[in-house]
Amino acid sequence: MVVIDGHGGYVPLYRVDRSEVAAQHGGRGRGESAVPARDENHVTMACEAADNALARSGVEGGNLGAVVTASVSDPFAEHGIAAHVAARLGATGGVRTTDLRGSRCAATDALATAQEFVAANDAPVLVVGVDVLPADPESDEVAEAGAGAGAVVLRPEADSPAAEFAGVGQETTGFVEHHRRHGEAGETGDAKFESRHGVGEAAPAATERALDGATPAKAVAAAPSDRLAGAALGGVDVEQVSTRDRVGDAGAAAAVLDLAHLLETTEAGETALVVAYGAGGAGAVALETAEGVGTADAKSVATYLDASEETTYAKHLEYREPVEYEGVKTP
Amino acid sequence: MSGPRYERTRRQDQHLIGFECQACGWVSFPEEKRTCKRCGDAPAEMTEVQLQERGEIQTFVVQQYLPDDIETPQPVAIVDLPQAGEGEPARAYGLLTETDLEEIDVGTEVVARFRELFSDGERPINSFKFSVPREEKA
Repeated sequence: MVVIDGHGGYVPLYRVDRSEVAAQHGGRGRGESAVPARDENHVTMACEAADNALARSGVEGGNLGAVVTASVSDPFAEHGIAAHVAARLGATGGVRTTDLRGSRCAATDALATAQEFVAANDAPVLVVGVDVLPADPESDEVAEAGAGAGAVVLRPEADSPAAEFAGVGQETTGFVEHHRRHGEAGETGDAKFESRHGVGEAAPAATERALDGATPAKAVAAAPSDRLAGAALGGVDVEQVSTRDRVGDAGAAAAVLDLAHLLETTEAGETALVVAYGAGGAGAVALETAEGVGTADAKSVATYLDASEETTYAKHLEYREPVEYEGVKTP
Repeated sequence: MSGPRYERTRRQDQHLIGFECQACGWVSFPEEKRTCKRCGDAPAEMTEVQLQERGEIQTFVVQQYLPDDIETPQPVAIVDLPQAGEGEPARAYGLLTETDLEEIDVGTEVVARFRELFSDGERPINSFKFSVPREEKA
């Protein structure tokens, strides 16, 4: 048995009202998108979510067996996120660290990898999804570029877990329509073509394998767009839990952030579904929620959503640029 | 572990660890002093102590004129961080982040936040700043 014992999210303080972006740029103008502060990066945001997840678990950072991160926006080709999060948490030495990237499926891949590690090694694993999507004023996606992080702690067993793993599914198709280079806005193709041959072929197959006949009550979905996220759950009659209206596109992190939000707001004894659709296919994880759901012992995603400050379109763009000088002269 | 070459191995850059003088109880953070700043004990016997993440502003100044790349006003505070166990608090110096001037005063509770302090070329260097607790923004 593998359980989730500890869940937490993190959403930056600042938000841009998409109607303000639309006023200057055109395009869609509903909802808001999270804007990372200038002194936030993937590692610091991941640590905030991890702190909340660990606070809800009975696990000290130093007792973790592995740290697995998922991101589609890590700006570094070589640098990584997982090892830095692990070091910050005191999880050094014989600790496995893994950075998964390249597709939003990295989120479900991270959960599946962690489940297998826990089962094989009888040691707790921290999974963190973290993303800061680039905001390119030349792109239609500029208003939706969001940021956020989510984390869960997996263990072989716990006194009061939030959820138990019920199934994991995968559908690798190799189909890629939405794609993106480092630091650039994504390129999307024919929506109908992608609906039919991309998400339409991948997500139902992965979901069916994960659920194995179970009927979910709630679900989260990560995908390159709101429409594709809905399509990823298209074959399942389920209540979707999503922070996208308040956070924007949080990349692969959306699956873990929304899972934390789901575990904070759901009841025990329900089947929950996590689906991630992205480049190459889809992944799905089925969970049975348990008595450890709720918001005790750490800041909730709802708190992060409510505790916000509006910022400008200019800051939305500027804050995503690398910091070159922040308080101390660089060598 | 990321960090500039000259102090990449300092654990206290990523962990709230102070150093308590065994002669007088004064706590240093983040530096591990060889001479106690208060009693002058040298070489001082310093013991690692765990600090709490929430502390109290003792005093602060607001920097208004800084290089263009730094947002102003930039408050800088002296914060007392209590130990997790018994003993004196550490008196820490730190930048404030995500904090408006009207939110802070002497005695305001702040929380240590792991943030990007500066960069070494393109590489972010993360360590501690302070902010008012996030839940107070709700």
